[in-house]
Formats: sequence, structure tokens, C-alpha cells
Amino acid sequence: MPHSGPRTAAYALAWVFALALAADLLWMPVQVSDSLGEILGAQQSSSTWASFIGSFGTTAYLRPLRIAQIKGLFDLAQGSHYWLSYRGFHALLLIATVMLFMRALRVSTRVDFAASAFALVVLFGIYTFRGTVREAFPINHFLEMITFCLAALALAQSRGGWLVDVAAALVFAAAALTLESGLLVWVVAVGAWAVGWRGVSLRGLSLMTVLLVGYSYIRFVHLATGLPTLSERSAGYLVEMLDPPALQERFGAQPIWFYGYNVVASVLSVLFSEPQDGIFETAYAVLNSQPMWRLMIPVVTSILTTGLIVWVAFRRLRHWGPFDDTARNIVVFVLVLLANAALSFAYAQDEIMSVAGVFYALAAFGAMRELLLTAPTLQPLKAMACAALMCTVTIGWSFRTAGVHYVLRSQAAKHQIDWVELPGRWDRGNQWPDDPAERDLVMKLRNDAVHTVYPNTRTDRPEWPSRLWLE
Amino acid sequence: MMSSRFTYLVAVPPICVAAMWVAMLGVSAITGTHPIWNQRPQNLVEAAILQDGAAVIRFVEQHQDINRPAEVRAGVMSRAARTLTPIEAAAATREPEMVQLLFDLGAAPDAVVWQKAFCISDADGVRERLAAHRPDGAADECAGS
Repeated sequence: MPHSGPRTAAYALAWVFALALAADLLWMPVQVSDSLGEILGAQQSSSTWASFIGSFGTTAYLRPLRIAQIKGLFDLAQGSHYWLSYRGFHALLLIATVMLFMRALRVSTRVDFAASAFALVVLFGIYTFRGTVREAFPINHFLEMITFCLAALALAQSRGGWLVDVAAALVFAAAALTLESGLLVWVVAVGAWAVGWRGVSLRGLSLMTVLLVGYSYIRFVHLATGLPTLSERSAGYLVEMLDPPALQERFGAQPIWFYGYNVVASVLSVLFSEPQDGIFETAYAVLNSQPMWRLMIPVVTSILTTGLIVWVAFRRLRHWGPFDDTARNIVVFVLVLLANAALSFAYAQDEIMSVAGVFYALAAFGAMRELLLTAPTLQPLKAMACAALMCTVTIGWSFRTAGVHYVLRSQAAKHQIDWVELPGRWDRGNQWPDDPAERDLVMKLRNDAVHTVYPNTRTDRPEWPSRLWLE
Repeated sequence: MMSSRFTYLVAVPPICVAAMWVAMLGVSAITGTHPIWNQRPQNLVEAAILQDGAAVIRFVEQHQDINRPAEVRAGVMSRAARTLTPIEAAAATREPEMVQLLFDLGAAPDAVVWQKAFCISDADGVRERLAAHRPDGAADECAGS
């Protein structure tokens, strides 16, 4: 019987996690790499609209809304509050993501509450989530893609109506024009409809499909922006990182093999926490006699959790019937996983799979819920085995989530030292911009970073956090 | 009853992590020091030893002399307290970036300090940075090397 107590408790726990993570995000400077150039670009742009229009026609990517958003937040900072504007937006996005995630769980019983607590530590502990909080870009668009996809799921789970259809189309348009992963919004909406969440109607899906076709036409025909090539960036392969010349040499003639590897590696990274960014870290650690503890816990917890999801999926296949939320979550997860991996064909990167990681946590919620409902009905010996499994996976994922705090503190110190070293490096390389306004902006951002005291993780004292968790 | 035992098994570890996380941040906010990473430099030399570049800049902005020796408390670098100049401290960390930062901020060691710094660290990167700022009369030979 549904009660408001478990739901309130679940949201309370989610708020505690969300606020703790948001505080950690605020306690971090905007990073230099992949960020400073874009902030300086925002300063040079005359308006958000100019940033939007100016982004069309760039090679390989079509992300006009991404640049426009950075400009919008730049203007919001009003010439001084850049840290608050950019870091505050990251914190708000995180809170929105966690609340949308909780909404998707639809907690109503004590068992739901326990499963939701488990789902939260899976959400935060999975490697694919780390990039959404570790990278302090002006806007962390990987996290934004998760928010968009969960918003689409919330619309699909709603009662529907024309407003919902319009909202779904707008969410899709915003997501697709921000990052390529935004196309997953369409996959979520279609998958949700197929399994019976029909808040977004056929009319809404048709509208989204028209937008998808329009996006494809603009990108591949009108602007002919093409696809990323092997020469654009380094990428992980088996146990090594290959730079563009090495990629070109090894796969230049037959890139399809490399693309295939990336798709498979992306799927495995969500299901088994290996490989990471395309590299099999556990194999690398064995070959290089590195500590295994911090690698084995994530792999073991992921194998057990994936096994649990597979067990529930087989149970549903054996006793075929109308879809409940558990079955729906698993089906939508599989669709999102495959689509997300396909979008990662150019290079395997954990962050790109962040949307699939969130839907993995939703599937894990359903699987744990099923186990919690089944365990009390089992013979004592089997029930004890169930209890041992629950303990192992829950403690394992909780341990992984605890490591996120270490990762964020460590990352804040790294971002800060990048700002510390920037002026000297630019002095020596004569790289300072000519425009005094740009120089003032760089120094403002640098002073924001340098004058905040962050815990010093650089000396590796104490050593135990780096032994327990990978950064 | 049995069902609620299972729910406790699953719910308690995440709740504990959330509580610990909030406690960490709460202690940091109230005391100004993180419960785990709690080493705070007391002067410019300690900042260099602890590889805290931002603290180095803050101490320089507070007009601490970047060439003056200062005491490093016992336990920060070694069991006993020591007195070093910032550039010697930076060399001791074997971090070329810290040595470079001090030069960028205006460090100008005399020949004696320079030679001490050169001999404290045998890291190539550190010695390269020092060699680029070698004062007149400084020798790059170390006893026993």
C-alpha cells in the first residue's frame, strides 16, 4: 500500500546527496582547459544570438546552443560574478538532475525507498557519472544531456496533453543543438512510448521525428559538417592511449574496426566499469603491477549489479505479461545504452556514456526492488545468499559514491594549480591576448581561483584515498 | 519483519555515505579545515613544500619575502623542524612547476642558496629551471655527486 513516508524519506536522502554534491561543485574553480577559450569567446561575442548563429558551419560538430548558453551565463555574471554564474549553474543542473531521477523512480513503499537509496549510489558511483561533476567547464553539457533525457522521461511518464508534446519537442531541439548526445532524447521518448509510458503522444513523437530529420538535413546536407575523424584526438584502445598519428597508422585504412571497438567498449564500460575511456584499466594494472583494490571493487559491483538486472530481465521474459515499471526501466535502459554507444563510435569516453549510466541506475532500481520483494519468500539458505548479495552490491556502490568527494576535492586542487601556472606560462610563451579586456578577464578568473582555499590533495597525504579510489 | 530487515540492509550504507559526506562538508565549513586533507601552510616556505601554488601566491601578495628563509614545522617536511628558503623548499619537492612559479613571482636566490637548491634535488626538471636562473658565481657541483 502506498504511503507518503517512504517517498518523503527517499526525497530527503536525494536532497542530502544533491546538496552535498552541489556544495562540492561550488567549491571548485572554473577549469582552464577546454574552458578559458570559450569564456574569452563569449566576451568577444556581441550577444547570445550572435554566439548561436556564429556556431553554425564549424567542422565536425553542430552545437550552436552550447556556445550560446556559455555566452548567456557570461552576460548573467555582469562582469564580475563568473564563478557564481558558471559554478552555480553546474550546481543547479546537478540538483535538477537528481530530482528528475527521483521523479522517474516513483517511490511509494518502503521497498521502493530502499531500492531508491541503492539507485542513488549507483547513479553517483558509476564511472560515467564522474565526468558530469569532475569537469568544471563553463557549462557541463554532459550533465545537461542527462537533465534533458530525464526531463523527456518525466514528460513520457506524465498524463500527457498537447503542452507535454510541445515541451518534449522543445527539450529535444534544445538537447540536439547543444550536443550530439542530445539525440538520445528522441530515443528516450520513443522507447518510453513503446513500453507504455505515453505521456508524449504519437503526435509529439512525430513532431520530434520531424525535428530529428531536420537536424540531420541541416547537419549532413545543408552545412555538411561531417563526422569526427581519427586525426582529431587521442583515444583509448585496449591497454594504451593512441595519439592521432598512431590511430591513423593503425586504423586509417579500416576505421570501421576502431569504430566497432569504441561501440563495444562503450557498452562494456556501463555494464562492467571496464574499459574506462576505451582502456582496460584492470588489464593495464595487471601488466604494470599496479594496485588492484581500487579497480576490482568497481568491476565486481558492476558485474553483480548487471547480473541482477539480467536475472530480472529473464524472469520477465519467462513470465511474460504486461510491462510494469521495472520491465519498462530495463527496456528503455537497453535502448539508450545501444543508442548512446552508437553515438560514441568516434572515440570511447566515459562522459559520453553518462546518459546510459543514469538509465543503468534506473534499471538497477527496478532490479533491486524485485530482489527485495523476492528475498523474503525464499528458503532460509537462499534468503541468506540474497542478503549477502544485497550487502555486497550496496556497500560496494556506497563505497564508490564516497569516492566522488575525493575525486571532486582532488580535481578542484588540479583546476586551481592550472590557474596558478597560467600567467607564467603565457608570459614565457608570449601568449597573452592583445586585448586589455581579455587580459583583465583572465586575471579576474585566475584571482577567483587562487584566492579560494581548497583542501590540498597534491601531496597525497594521507595516501589512503588514492589507494582506494581512482581519480 | 523479514522484508524490513532486507530493506535496512540495502538502505543503511547509502544513508551512511550521505551522512559522512555532509559531515565532511560541515566540518570544513565550520573549522575552515577539511577533516582529511588538513595540512595548511603557515608561511611561504611551507606552501612551497606542500606544493600549494595558490597559497604561495597569497603569501607573496601578503608581502612575505620570497627569498627569505623560514621555519618548516616538524612533520610537514621531516620529523624535525627545518629552516629553508622557498626555492630550496620547492627544489626539495622535486616539482619543477613549483620552482618555476617562484621564479615567475620574482625569486632571486644568491649563489649559496642556489647551490643548496640545486643539490637538494636531482630531478632533471628542477635542475633545468634552476639552471635558467643561475646567479653569478653559483657552482653546480654537489658534494658526493
